[in-house]
Amino acid sequence: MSDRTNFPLTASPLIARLAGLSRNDLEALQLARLRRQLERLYVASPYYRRRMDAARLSPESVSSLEVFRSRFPASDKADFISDQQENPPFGARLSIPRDQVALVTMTGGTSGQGQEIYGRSQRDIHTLGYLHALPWFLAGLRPGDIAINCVPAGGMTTGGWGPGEGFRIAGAVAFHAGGTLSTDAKIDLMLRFPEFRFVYASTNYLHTLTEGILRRGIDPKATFPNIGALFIASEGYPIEWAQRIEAIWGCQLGEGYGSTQCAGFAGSTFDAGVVTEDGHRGYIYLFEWETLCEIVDSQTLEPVRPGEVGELIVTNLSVEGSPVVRFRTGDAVRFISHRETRSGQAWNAIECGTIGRYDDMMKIRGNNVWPAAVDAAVFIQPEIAEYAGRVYTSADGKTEIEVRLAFADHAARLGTDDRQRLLCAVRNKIKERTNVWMTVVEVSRSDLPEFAYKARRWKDERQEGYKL
Amino acid sequence: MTLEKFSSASDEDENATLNYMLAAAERLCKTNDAFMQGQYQHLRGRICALIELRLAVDRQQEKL
Repeated sequence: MSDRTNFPLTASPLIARLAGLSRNDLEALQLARLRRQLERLYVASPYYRRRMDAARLSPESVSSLEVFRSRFPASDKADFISDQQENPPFGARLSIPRDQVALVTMTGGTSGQGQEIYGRSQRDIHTLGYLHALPWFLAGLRPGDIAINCVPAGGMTTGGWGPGEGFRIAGAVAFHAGGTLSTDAKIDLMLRFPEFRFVYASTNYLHTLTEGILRRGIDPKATFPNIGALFIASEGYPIEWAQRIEAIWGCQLGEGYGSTQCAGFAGSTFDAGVVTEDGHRGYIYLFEWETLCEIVDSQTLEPVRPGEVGELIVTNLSVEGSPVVRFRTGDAVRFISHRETRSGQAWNAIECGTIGRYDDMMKIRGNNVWPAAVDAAVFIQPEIAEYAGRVYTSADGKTEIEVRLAFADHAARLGTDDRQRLLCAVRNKIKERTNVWMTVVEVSRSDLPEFAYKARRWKDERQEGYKL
Repeated sequence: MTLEKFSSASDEDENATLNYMLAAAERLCKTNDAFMQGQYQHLRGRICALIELRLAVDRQQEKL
């Protein structure tokens, strides 16, 4: 996929025009689409009309993106859940007639706060597909390519429906193997159709899939010579892991940031992938003409500076059914200004591989500990297959942290001394990244779960330790 | 069993509209934009399917 005629901007005049917009033109386009959206929502959505009225803000008075940012009230998950409870099932933020809802999606519910419900129109379904096909096109997927979709299809989530629409309108020949085939069965499928060019998976599942392929003694570079790109989403990773994956598979790794709220991907890597040639983290370029993205201090809601980490707030500029307007995602991202990307495009970006969740963060012994930081410390070691962590209260009332990790099959021959050295190295790396000493122990692979999609490796059991 | 007679003017309008849309979609499918190509083919496929399923009814009516 390194042929320049296949370069995204060469292959698609439409994308080339979007990439050629100046920053001023891009922001003018955003403002025009935003005002059109707000005009429609003021009439069609009681939820958003109330918010505009409370802020004394009419669609016509949104004269700039700054006015919008500073005056339009943000919403969060709790607001949407409350709206749904008062106006079941979609809430008053549904802005199309109910009989025009063609697809219902819900968030996963893993936060424990409840599930947001989204009604999507026929047009939104194409947008869903477009916002999957676009990042994959940028990564090199072309009509006629064989693709393996490892993300579970169907169900109630956007992640279950978007890929199917995306591959369909991309013109790819897609095998939707996620959720229906075991890892070994997926590998068997790949061996039956070794000319495939594209794989889509969660970060964690690509790790599992790679582990499974290596366990069977398969060299992906030799066995799947046509593969052009692997594409991941949803979880962070160390640079070293990404470089290893690219070396094992002999192709580029791409990444996207997306969510149900964004109706698909809000941004993705371009043809450069997740790691630059000089070994730095790459950029997820934001599709800012579709999703208005603000990266703000999570306490003050003021924009962060380039290079700083902040919370992503998103606004749909074209979604019809249940659009979000200044929705606080709870995702922690590092903001990269378009000037810093030196890509020639005026698209802002976020850093690859470091997206975390504010609600995943654990406060341990006075330190903010992100699971992604422990992931990075553990998976920097290629000998490690998986881990699980727990925070608990000991019998004498102290906070203790245990990381149980399993070695990969290809590390089976490691002797006791080497294993101990690796456990020590991981412990030290965790301390370096989190400032917290954790107990690191080896367990067998079967003692740890296998994740088909998003990994939930951590349990915080401290409250149980305080029960009398 | 007899089939209801649909308004022939309405049928002709819908068939003509779909045929017009198919011709337009086929022009779109000749795009040199690889990103739009799949999307236009998807659109063409949908229109073809609508034409085909209507043909089944039209053929049945012709037999009456």
